[in-house]
Amino acid sequence: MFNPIHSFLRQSWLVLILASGLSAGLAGVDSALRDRIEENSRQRLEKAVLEVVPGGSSSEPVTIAGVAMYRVTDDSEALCGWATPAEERGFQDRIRLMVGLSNDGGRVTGLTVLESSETPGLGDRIQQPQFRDQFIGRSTEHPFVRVKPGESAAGQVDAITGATISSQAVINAINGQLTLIRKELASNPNTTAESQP
Amino acid sequence: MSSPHSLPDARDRFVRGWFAENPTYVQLLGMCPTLAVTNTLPAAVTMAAATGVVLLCSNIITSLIRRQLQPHLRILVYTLTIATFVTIVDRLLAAFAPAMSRQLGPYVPLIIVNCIIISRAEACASRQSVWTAIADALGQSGGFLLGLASLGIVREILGSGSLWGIKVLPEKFPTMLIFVLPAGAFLTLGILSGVLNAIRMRERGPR
Amino acid sequence: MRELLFIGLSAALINNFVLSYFLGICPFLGVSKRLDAAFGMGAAVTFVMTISGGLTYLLQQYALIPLGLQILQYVAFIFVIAGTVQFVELYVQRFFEPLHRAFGVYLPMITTNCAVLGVCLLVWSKSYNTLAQALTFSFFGGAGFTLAIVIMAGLRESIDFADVPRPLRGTPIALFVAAILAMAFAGFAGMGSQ
Repeated sequence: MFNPIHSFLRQSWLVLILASGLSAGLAGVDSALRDRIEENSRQRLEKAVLEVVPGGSSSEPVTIAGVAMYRVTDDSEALCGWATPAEERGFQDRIRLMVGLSNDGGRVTGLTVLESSETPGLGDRIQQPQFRDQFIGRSTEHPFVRVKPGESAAGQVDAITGATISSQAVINAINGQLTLIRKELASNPNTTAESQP
Repeated sequence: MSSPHSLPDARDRFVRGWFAENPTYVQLLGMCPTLAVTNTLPAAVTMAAATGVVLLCSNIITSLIRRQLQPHLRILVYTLTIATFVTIVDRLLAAFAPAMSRQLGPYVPLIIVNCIIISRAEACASRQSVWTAIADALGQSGGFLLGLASLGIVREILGSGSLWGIKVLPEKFPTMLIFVLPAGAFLTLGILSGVLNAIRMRERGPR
Repeated sequence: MRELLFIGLSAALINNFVLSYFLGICPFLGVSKRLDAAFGMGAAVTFVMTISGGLTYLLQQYALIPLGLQILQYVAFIFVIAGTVQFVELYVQRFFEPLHRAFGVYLPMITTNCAVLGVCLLVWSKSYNTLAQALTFSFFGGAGFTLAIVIMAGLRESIDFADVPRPLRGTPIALFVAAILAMAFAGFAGMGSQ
């Protein structure tokens, strides 16, 4: 008599055993490595955060005005700045930045590029200090404006020659984040915002 | 029970994988990573190593179970095995070399559909003893390394003026950005393939 | 809506799957010798990509992530793709016989096409987080693939009549053509930005 279960098992016993063995292997690898992988990405973000807020030694994720960002403190637990991720569509693909702000959100303290796929030699010069340093120390009272290289006055940013769109994308990203959080930071310098667990 | 001819057979397969049956230039397999991750030499070498590890593990397992393989289920078995090993290699990279893992991006999981691995499982590992399968895997991986590294070296030197991150070209020498862009990948592979074809034709002599 | 349109444009032209991401190179170099074959392959791949893109998105979003099983992502995705190809083949064979005669031969090859697994994974690395975005991205990615492979086929049909030097015949000349095509498509970058 034809027993369907019997026939099924006879055909697929190897696949079943193999699948069980392989998934046990995967589960083992997952539990062994998962923490380390998460730690790696957490460390990368923390490194970027501390890079854009000079003097900081530790950070905690917070939410301000609905924006996920980081509250940076120094060794004595005093507030020394804020860091917020910002992103914008660039020339080739999206650009992600980490922007450092002073305690009251009135000044930019640092800028670093987390992710960008801009044209090498042109758009990806947004990662170089010559471009990024323009923002450091600048007041955030008015939105940043792009001008031709060499023509900048207060509040204006020299674009990169041949990389107008990439430069503009960085500016838009920063301006965009500032409009969201600037008021909140300015009105409440030592904001004890809801911390994320 | 291994065949009496397995040792020379294994050595033969190992050698053939490097040049005569080179996966990149002769078999034209695994083109996707070959073009995608060869803009720097470290990335090219890491990809070749990752593929090699997966190929080795896959060949070993396939060879061990070759007598129990049902013909109509074998693709399923290959896919399962390969996907598992690729996941393991990907997680290892993410844990111990996060920057490289980010640089290689989605191309590490794409090793699953790299034709080299399935074709070796089908053509060799499912029919041969474990030692022959190992030798075959090592040979093919070596060939793949040669293919990726040759592209990586050309593209990195000409495109960024450096090799493994160390500047090797003098400042005045222009770097041709095209080589680190997608167009340059096609161009480099085309040039290298053409050169190899020319060499092979000369070796065969005038017809 | 505008966002979806941009995702589609980006997938098809600005970051073309073949010429920017190097996905689907094997069929691009292998199947692109005749125009009708190329179109058939492209259509079949687009169909499978759209379905798998949607299914893998749902699987990851509603099963793998909530259950903490992301380690199974690659295994699950490749099986969804293989299963999709099988079902599509059966379905087309049963209900669309003429279609099957025209395009059916390409279907089994699609499982190992980097573009299909690639699109399923790219949806997650680009953080698209709605089904509509995933489907748009997958469909237009396939459309871009079809576009590239059809253009390539047309060009290669012309090359058949050209006097190509012997070492360059076959793959090398195809790669040079692809390089020029890639340069042309690089011109789409920056489209849609302010």
